Amino acid sequence: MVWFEHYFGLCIVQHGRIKVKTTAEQQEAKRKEREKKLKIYNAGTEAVFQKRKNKEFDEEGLKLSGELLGVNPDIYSFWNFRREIFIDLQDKREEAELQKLLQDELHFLEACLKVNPKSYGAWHHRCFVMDAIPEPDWGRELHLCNTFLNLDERNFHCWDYRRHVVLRSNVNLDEELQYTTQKIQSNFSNYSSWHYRSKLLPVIHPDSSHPVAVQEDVLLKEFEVVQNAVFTDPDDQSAWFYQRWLLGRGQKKLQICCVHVSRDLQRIVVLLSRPVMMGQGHCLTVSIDTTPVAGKWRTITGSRMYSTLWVIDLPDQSLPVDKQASIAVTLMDDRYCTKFSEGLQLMPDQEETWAVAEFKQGSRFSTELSAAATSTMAQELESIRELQSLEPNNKWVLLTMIHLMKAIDPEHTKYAAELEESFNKLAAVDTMRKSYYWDLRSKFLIESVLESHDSKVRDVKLCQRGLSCLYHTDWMVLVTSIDLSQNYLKSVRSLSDLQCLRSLNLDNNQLADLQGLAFCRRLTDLSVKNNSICNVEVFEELRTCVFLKKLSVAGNPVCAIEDNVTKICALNKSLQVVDEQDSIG
Amino acid sequence: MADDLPSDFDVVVLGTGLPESILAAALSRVGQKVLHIDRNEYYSGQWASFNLENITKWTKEAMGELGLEHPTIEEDVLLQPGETLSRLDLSVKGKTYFNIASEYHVSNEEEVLDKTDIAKECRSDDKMDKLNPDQVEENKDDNDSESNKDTLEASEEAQSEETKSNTETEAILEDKETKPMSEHKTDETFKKPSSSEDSVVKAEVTESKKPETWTASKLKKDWRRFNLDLAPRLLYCAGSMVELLISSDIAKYCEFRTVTRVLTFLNDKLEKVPCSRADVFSSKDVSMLEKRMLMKLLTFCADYTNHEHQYQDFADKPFKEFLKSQKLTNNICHYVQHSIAMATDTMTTMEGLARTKKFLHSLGRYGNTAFLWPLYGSGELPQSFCRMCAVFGGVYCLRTAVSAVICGADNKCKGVVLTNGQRINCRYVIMESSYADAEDMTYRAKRHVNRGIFITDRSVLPTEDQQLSLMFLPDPDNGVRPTAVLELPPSSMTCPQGLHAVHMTRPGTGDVHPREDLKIVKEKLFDPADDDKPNILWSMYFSQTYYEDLKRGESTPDNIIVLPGPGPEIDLNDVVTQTRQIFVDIMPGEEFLPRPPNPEDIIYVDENEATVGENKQSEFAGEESETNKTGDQSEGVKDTEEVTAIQSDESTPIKTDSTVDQSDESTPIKTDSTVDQSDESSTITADSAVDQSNDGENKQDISSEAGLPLYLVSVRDPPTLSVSVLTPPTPRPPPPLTLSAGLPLYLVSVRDPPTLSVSVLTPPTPRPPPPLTLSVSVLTLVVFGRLDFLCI
Repeated sequence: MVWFEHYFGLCIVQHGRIKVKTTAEQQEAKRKEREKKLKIYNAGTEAVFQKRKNKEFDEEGLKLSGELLGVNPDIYSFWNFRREIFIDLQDKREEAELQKLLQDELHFLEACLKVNPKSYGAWHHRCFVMDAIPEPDWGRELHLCNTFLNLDERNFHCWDYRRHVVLRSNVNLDEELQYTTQKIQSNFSNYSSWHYRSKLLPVIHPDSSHPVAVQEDVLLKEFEVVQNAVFTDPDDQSAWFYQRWLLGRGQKKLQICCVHVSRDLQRIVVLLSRPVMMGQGHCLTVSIDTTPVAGKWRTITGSRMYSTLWVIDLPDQSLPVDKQASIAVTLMDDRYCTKFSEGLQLMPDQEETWAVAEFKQGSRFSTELSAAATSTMAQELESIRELQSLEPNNKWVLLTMIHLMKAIDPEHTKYAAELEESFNKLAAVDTMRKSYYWDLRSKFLIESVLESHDSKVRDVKLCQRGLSCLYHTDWMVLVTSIDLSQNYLKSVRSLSDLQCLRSLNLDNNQLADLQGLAFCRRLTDLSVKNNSICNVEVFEELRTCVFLKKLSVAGNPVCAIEDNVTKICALNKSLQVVDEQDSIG
Repeated sequence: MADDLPSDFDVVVLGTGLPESILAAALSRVGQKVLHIDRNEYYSGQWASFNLENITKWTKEAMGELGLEHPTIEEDVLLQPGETLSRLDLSVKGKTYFNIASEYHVSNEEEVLDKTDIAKECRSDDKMDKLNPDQVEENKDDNDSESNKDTLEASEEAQSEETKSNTETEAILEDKETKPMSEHKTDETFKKPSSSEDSVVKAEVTESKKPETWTASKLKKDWRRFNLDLAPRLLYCAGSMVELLISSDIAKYCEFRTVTRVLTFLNDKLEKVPCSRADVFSSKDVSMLEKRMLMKLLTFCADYTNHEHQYQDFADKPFKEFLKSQKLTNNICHYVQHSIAMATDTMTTMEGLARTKKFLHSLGRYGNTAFLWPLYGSGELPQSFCRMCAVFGGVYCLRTAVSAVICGADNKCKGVVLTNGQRINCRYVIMESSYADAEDMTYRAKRHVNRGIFITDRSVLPTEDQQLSLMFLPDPDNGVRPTAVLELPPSSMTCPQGLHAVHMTRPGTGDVHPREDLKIVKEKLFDPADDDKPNILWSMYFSQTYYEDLKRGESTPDNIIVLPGPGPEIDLNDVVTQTRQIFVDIMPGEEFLPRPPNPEDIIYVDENEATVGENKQSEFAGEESETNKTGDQSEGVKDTEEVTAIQSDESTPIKTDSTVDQSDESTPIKTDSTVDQSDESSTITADSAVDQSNDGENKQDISSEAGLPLYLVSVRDPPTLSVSVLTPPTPRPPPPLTLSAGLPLYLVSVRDPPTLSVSVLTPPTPRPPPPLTLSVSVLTLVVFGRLDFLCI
């Protein structure tokens, strides 16, 4: 730098001013240089790909790909090529030589990471190199992480790598926790750091009886840290997310919650406590009178998806009318080799039978926040209330309050009014996410109704609840009659879960179609008055509902169409269609 | 000596303080021929930073013991018809500084042993410093006798202090005297039992093990590691000074460290003020609710102009009252008024809010802090500007002043007579107030600041890391004269390891001696009776005059500009505003310190042919000279002019020595700023014949794009930052012509060679093969070398 400054003194020509290139000259010079560079770059790229194709795993390949990666560390194919070279060399070279080669590779990676500190390829390759090197120096790697995190504390690539390093080496985890504290203190808006804490705490302070597996007293201290953050800046999401983790979203134990056997449909429906994919780590078997039944488990709609509801169609005559059958369903879990089993009897005169697992009151849905003890949550609610008094319009405060109230009182008795008020306020202060809040509210309402019901109740009333969306329909698998009138429903797709449904009231909603009802094959009585159904084709969905007797369509735009009743009646011989308002009871 | 100085300049600038240096750089930058002179043999004038030795020397200067004398002026020879000559008062005694007093608060017991060492050291340093062998002799004698005198004086002073029933000094002296040669033993026996007691004590022991016992001779031995400021100033991270340093690319000449904490006394306890979001988050001194209150208030202040209804009732009332009305706790009010706004009790809400906003907007740019501290002291800043001035052809002459001003019949200044008797013709004279005569100045008020400089043995609030602390302590009496305290750790490059330099600044009043004026704060912070508080090892007090609203005198020619010296402010925004205004007045329509062009874009002129760019390889040379030919007509004409202009250089004795240049970057060459060097530079610049007849049309080109600033890069954008900073500088071929010893600026520095800065300043050395390796150690060096102030 210094010399040119001197030179300025001599460059002074015109009235003491330095003469510089014009913009056109600069551009021309730059263009030429760029062209030249591009030629070299392209030729190099071609050469490397050629070498890889020919499987020439040698040092020249390293050199060539290295020069290009040094300029652009994001060519992942070249990293793969380099890895292939090293794997090839691993058997051919002496250990000392290999050590030297990989050591150089580490130095090279550092140079690349300086070009792009967020290069996926480079960080990934570093993991490989460190695992391949005969004598890894993990301490140096940790130091490297520190350096990069000093430059950019939110570089999640580096955080990922740090966890890799810690996993491989015997780093004192307490020190790591201390490190996250330090990073959070310099800027608490650091998701990576909070996240790392959530991974470290269950290891450092384990408590297997606790849903988040962390000792309660440690959790309390963490709550305090979070409070410091949210009181400092309630608009910062990172701390709220961490708080949500602290409050726990415990993984539910996998079990069979409900088995329903239907004689006339020749099938068994099983409800599990959480969604699984049959055949991928889990499998269900069913046996009738100790004879295993062959058959393929499917979801209700037949799609290949994770589901809580699984159906098996039984072979013909598996359940003769005059015989009592003893049915046992077993859930196998590959990983843990555990068995969950449900057995039940189908009496000769019974059309259907079912078994329901017993649940503690209020424990079925409170998975959002369930980890912390109720006293902890109440305490947390108190301090959030305090914050709310200072920040009445902060959405994060309101949302957290809602979650806490729901967790403390799953049946919505204690805080019903306050919850309702909070939801209204939330929708008002954060109109962009209004629909999200209404859906959340619907979810909470449905949960509270289901919690308050005995699981044997088969008639559910959810009318006039302001529902915008349906949740937990899988838990209504046994329900035969449901009243969903006077809500804001736009879709009934999830009603397909209601496999026993006979009577459905969807009056006064905002439905434009009836998709999903095709799977409610037991449906006999359907009312969709005052919705937004515009054409007759919508009712095609009901073709599979062979037992459908009565359909009320009054108050829909479709009523204006000529011959609509006739057309709809064509679906089903025994169907009676009502399109007049007054005929409703 | 300076007979060789050219006699025609556009601007003569007197004084190398910060405002003068900024103006000199700005004027030189747009092509004005600038002669920049200073009466002292060091740069920065009232803004200088001194080592322990030189500050003693300065004391004598400030008291008027060493001064310049008027030359004999033969008016008939110098003056043209119609011109008049008015002599300036060259004396400095009492003009700016008074109440100067310095003393050691520790005994000199090892003096007898160390004296020879000191003398030796002085001698060897002098040899290094001085080029002229004659001068070395002189100075050596000077220094020897001086150091003798100094130590004598110091001890005498200390003695007299003692007899003046200054109990503090007594206590310290006694304390030290009771620990004669066997101090280590007594220390050990004292420490050992206590260390087993508990961890708190342990921490104290390790803390106290480091500093051991300081003596005056020990301090003197380390004299060159001190950089004590006459006018310590901070930079708001988003302030106009930082902006100027970046936009003008002068930032590359300076290094900074962040002020790591703001302290305050709350309920007689010294604690850290939570200023930033991170501070508020991690502070244990404020409750949850207070955290929210404080953050809410700060968020409002940062954007107060958009919430007028919240403060309009208080706009003209004191800020203090506004804060009271906001339903805050007393602690929060205290934090905001005294530590963040740094407002006095009488300051209006409008002003308080503006100050708070300024503070808040500076946070987060270079970390969780609002302030930067220039490494090696504030005296570095004026020098950086001088350097830029010289790069663009400014001529520097130290130990020179203007003896007289020549006025024409039209009451315009036509030129000046230097103290060497030479007449310099110029269009403008810019002078710092202490150079001007009383009748050349009008001002609203003449005031003074009381300053205290202390060397202490530990921090007022020690932590594991070195902390650079700012304290703004309210006036206990009526709230209008607060005291700003700055505690500088060794990492600020102002004092040796184990010590702290503490600066106190308080607006003065009446005849109160600064010693008395700063006594309350001093006793609060340093209490010799209290083991936890730092001990003062050395102290200095002085009062410095400054003028409010300084303007030129009514009868003074309007092409003479008088600039004020530093006032009581703690930051530099006012200086930038003021100098920018003056520049606009002198050079309307010109850009204020635009970024210098990229070296790649400069058109260099060879002796024989004009080529574009620095690439001297034959393949490019042909191509580019072609571009030149095809370029427009005027371009070609200019080129030929360049050639003639530069060719005249051949006749001058220029040493082409690029090795010196390079070493300048890696090793700090300490060559004292002596007059003979600036002579050489002046010769050269004079000969590079500036063609004044032609108006420069290339201005817009000069301001074209250039490289990223190296040191002042925002952390907001870490990936880009790391890339730009970490990329090693592309090797450039040496320029066709280079000056080495020519310009004094690189070699001149008031500070002594800081051994620590060597590593900091060293650019990443190109590694030997294999070409693809770059080890972590280099990475760290680069990262910490360039960005160390970002990540403390």
